[in-house]
Amino acid sequence: MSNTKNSIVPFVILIIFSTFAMVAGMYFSGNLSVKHKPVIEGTLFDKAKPLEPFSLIDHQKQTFNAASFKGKWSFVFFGYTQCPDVCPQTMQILKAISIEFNKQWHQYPLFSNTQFVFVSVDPARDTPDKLAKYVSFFGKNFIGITGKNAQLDAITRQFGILHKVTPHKDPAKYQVDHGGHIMLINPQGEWQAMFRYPHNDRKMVYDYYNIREYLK
Amino acid sequence: MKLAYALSAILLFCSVSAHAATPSPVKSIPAYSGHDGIIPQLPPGMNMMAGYITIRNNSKKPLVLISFSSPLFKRVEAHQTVNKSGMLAMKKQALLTVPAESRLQLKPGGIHFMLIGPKRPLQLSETVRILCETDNQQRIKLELTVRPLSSTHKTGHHHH
Repeated sequence: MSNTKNSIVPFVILIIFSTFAMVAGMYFSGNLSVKHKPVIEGTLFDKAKPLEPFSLIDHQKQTFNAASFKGKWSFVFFGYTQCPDVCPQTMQILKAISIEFNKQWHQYPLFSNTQFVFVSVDPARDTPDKLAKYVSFFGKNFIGITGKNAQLDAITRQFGILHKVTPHKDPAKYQVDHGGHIMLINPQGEWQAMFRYPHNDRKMVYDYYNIREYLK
Repeated sequence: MKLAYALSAILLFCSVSAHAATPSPVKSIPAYSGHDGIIPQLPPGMNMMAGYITIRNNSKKPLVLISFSSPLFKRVEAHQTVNKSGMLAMKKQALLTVPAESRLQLKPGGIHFMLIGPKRPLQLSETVRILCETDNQQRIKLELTVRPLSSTHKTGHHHH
């Protein structure tokens, strides 16, 4: 009989202890929930990177510099208007995202404060007037910017975006190579994330929402 | 009697082979065909457009297309978008090959027609003809329809 009692005691202690541990665990997990860094199709920086100065011109012939990013979240894409394949497809993805935000911003006010910036790396052909026609096709919150090559380098090198223009009088041989990744700038004007090419609008909306929730 | 059997067998054989030689009255499959041809509409004044289409080759030989033209464009070329770790470039393709009994998909971010210099603004839903010449001097006509840019880009997962 006493043998049986002795063998039960450790079990009882174990049960009491594990119940306590379970309850404590549930209590703390509810109160000390840790935000997990979202895994995105690209890179989300733990510490956003401040931008170095640059000065470009927008489609309304106004100066666009590092300070112009302040106060809004910005998606930034590099291309040129004579690009028939990748650029219109990417701009269409950004347009689809913008339409999605407009539909949802009552529910997710996070989305209301977002703009889309198209940086033309082909300033010889993409004048502000041409950019104005181009970006207005995609939406009101689209901005087209360009500038002298040295100023374009000042912005592109910060994002590791390579671009190379090989002019030719034949438009089919006028070669413009450019990086296809999309950059996300936060309202402090800092580089927050990079979305990797090729893009998918639904995945990008999902990633962007997770980034905003994570950084809230 | 045996002779009669032999004769009828020969007659039957002849009629079967004659039937096989005549074209089937059921819808015949063309050797080559184009499917889902589209030209995404771009902002006005753009000098370059892209055309996408799936080209089917139902024949037993590879189909080699060596030149392209369209009455609505100054010039048509085949290009491929090449992605080198995020750096995008377009490479002109001297020819397009559709393997025997297979298909070639011209699609965004891949091989596409580069339509250079539209002779007039294109209307939505308009059909644009692209004429292709093969390596054995055959001409193949493809039809592409002008669609809103949004229709080329399908959301979510659309790979089959």
